[in-house]
Amino acid sequence: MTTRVFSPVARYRAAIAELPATTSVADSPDGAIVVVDGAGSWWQEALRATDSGAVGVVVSAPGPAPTNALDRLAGIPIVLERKLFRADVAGDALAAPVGDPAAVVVECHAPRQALAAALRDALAWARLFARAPLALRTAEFSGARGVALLAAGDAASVSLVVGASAGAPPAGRLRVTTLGETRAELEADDRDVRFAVTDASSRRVSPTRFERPERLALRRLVAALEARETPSDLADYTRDSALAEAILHSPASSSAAAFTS
Amino acid sequence: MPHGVGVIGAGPGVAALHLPTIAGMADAFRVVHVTDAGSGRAAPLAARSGAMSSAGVEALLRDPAVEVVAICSPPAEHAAQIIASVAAGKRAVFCEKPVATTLADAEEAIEACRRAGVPLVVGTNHYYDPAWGRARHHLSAAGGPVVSISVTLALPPNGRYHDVVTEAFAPSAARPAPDLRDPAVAASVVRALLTGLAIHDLPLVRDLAPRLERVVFAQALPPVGYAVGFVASGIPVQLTTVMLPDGADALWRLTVTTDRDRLDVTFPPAFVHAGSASVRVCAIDGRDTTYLRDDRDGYVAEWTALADLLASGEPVEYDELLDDVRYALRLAEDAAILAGVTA
Repeated sequence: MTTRVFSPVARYRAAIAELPATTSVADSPDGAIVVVDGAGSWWQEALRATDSGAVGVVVSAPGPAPTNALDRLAGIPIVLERKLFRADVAGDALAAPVGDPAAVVVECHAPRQALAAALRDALAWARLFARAPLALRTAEFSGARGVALLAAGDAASVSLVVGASAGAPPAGRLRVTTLGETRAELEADDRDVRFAVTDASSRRVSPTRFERPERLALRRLVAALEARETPSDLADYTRDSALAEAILHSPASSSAAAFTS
Repeated sequence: MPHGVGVIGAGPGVAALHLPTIAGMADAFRVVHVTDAGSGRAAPLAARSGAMSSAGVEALLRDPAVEVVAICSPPAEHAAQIIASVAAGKRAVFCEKPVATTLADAEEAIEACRRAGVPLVVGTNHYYDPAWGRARHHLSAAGGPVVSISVTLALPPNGRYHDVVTEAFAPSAARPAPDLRDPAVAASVVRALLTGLAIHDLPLVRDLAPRLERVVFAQALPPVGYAVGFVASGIPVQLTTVMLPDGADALWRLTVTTDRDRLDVTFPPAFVHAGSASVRVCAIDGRDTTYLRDDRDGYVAEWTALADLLASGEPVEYDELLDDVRYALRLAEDAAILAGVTA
């Protein structure tokens, strides 16, 4: 018995073909997983899909979405395929013996139109490495670049630089580094997500994940449906988006300027 | 004929760093005198070099064999020792960073060198590292406007690196972790680390972002470290450092992102002679290039620069040295205030 997938997104047809024992092509949303293109009003498409009987939704490369619209999607099994965040590498990172880092350093650059999405994904990695929800402490963003300091619970601090760079890959380029006795480094761009852990005795580089992200997204949603679970993707995305928007809308701080001589 | 060097200070930086570096440049320099404040460490260090030893600076400055003074004492003493070296008629001064702990002291010391025409080299080894020259050339020729700068450090104890470049040197006793919840302590830690550690890279940062505008955030990090964000010449800069009790080898990376490229300059750990930093460029056309490393490291390069100045008589860029001090001290003061407020 396969899970049927209704996908107007062409890239997902290959992924369905790569899951012959698990999925098959559906000709309507009813009773199927529906793939939604994240470029448009994907939250409306997702609602329409569930109204049409979809059992779950995969959103391919979700763009910005209004927070109140996302609230209406709560409870729907949704997996988000994010350009610079892979759930399988996130699993590697969570399993790595990194401990509680003293600091997390984020560097995030992308062409201007992709900057918000890249920052959202960078914050997802930072949240994962800090092992705590993030809260914005200070940020300044102007001229399409900025710096920010975030708190992660009572322990780690997360600092970041973010900026528009026409030379970055189309979806952006990011690096997240944890500073602790065991150091984790995550680098992501359009082509690859690379994860390495260094301690006093060795440096271990996680294997390259060759599974295409569309196949990974489908597989995750099928597994969640079978387990009758709702993935945390949407809640995570909502938090990361809110934080990214707060950073990107932080003007030059007059209080900080007051300390300069 | 090599120049006679008198070394003020007998700490780890001298034993593990400068004496071996000078020993490898026998055509240019030889150590003739080592002095310190009376710890007893100067004598054995001097003996290994066949040099005189003393306690206190005066004997070294009176020693006619000393042509070049290497100042490796605590930072608060640097300015006075530069001025005394010039007054004693020495030919050149090498001073560990920072030149001074106050701007007034720095101005006085640098002005003394300028008036007397005494070459002054500050031990900002990262600035002299051949890799920085390579990186700077790339940025000038092909990098495009700078978008951001990050300097990221994770440092295990120095003893790990002392052990591979010297021996029989008693490690410093571990200090208790500072109470960073105390605003005054947090401010003090940030100020001290910016002038003592970040100072390695601030001349490089200033090279790209010369006009310091404002500090956006500053926080002392446990066990000892800092996270500082500031804006200079419109460019966001983040400095993050943690000094750790153990663990992975040192990470010391300066990253410059431009409108075209991302350029990583990764420095070897302090004290070791492992060649230059590495320079990696991820370019707009998708190329990921790591430049060949140079055999010379920044320590050798800074002493070579001093030898070149002595040989050529070319003028020193005193104003640049002073501007480096202004930049670092203002950043340290503004960041310390913020760190104290946010502790």
